[in-house]
Amino acid sequence: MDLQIAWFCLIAFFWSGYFLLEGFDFGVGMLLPFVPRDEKERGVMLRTIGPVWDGNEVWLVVAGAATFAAFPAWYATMFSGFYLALLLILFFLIVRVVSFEWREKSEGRAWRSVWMWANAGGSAGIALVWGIALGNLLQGVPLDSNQDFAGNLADLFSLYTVFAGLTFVLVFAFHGASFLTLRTTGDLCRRAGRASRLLVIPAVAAGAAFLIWTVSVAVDVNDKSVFPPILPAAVAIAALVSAAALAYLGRSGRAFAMTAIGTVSVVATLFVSLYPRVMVSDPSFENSLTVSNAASEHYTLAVMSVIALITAPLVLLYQAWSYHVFRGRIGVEEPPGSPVDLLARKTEG
Amino acid sequence: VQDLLLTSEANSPGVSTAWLGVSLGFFVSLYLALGVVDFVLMRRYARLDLPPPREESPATAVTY
Repeated sequence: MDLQIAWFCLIAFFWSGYFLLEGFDFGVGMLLPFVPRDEKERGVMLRTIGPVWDGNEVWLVVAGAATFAAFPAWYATMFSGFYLALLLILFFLIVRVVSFEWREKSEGRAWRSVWMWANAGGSAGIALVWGIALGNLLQGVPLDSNQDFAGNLADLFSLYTVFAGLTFVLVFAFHGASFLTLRTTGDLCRRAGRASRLLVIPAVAAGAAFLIWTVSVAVDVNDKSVFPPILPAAVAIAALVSAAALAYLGRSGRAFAMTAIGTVSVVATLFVSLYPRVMVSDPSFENSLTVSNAASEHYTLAVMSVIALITAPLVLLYQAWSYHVFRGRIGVEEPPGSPVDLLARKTEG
Repeated sequence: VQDLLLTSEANSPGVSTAWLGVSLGFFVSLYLALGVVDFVLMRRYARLDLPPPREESPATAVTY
């Protein structure tokens, strides 16, 4: 029983890490068509996330894999129920990954423009679809008595879930803009600051509305009381509002810390609102998947816990180290180099 | 596992054959298109003349 709760928390942790980290590289991707003045600056923007974006993406793989191993019934129903949503996410992931690799292979204007939009569209698309998918876990989808998905595609779209998707897009765009103000120099940095001040009001308004709506959905359909989901929601709103104030004051480091706390707290609000269910059934609430009826055997969870306790801290350590290595600001005047060259320069100096 | 978990039992119950076909076709054509672009890129790079050899600094040479 306790291990089930631990794995539920761990999966929430992986999703938080995924959106905290990949959230800002989605944001940088979404801003690619708007913030830079020329291809050189666009290249600088891509290099701010170049060494880290694919490491960030692994958090999604881990969240999926942990769900598969710890809560197979949840994984089965979610991944087959959200079949088309996942197809879309894979499409966006594929074109986005390719855009990082292929953009610089040719200087043609059409070529550059295709991959810029592939990256921007992929980033926004993934954020939108994940928002819709995670919103559906809480708002409820039709499940039958086998706890299989019994609805159709149209069941996944409602005002709440689409608003969840849009909120993810706006919050990540703001998170990405505040990341850019931390990692760039000169004119690009100033324009990133302007973008973050433009995004701050829609992002904070949408975030606050979404959080309040989430708590009310939890009360309405998931048999929760206002407390405890209101706790992480309040933290998230406070963090987003302080991020707004700090963005106007030009304190980019603190603003980024606040958008980071805000992003994590948004995910925490969703998962606290879900618990003890992992996927709400609506109608037929009694068919909902819960932490206990979707979980693997105790033995499986115990083995996984031992493995996770050994490997997870190692992964966290080396990921933190890679962020430490690539902490410097970059600007247009710096010669472009591969991550290996950058690493060599950093370790020499 | 042999005879225990059959493919037919492991299928997503809510996903119709038509959708399976559509998604398979979608990914096959996506990867084919990307493969063609990749082939053209590789051929273009393979036909380029080699750049003059670079002076590698000793420090960089060691890290490789």
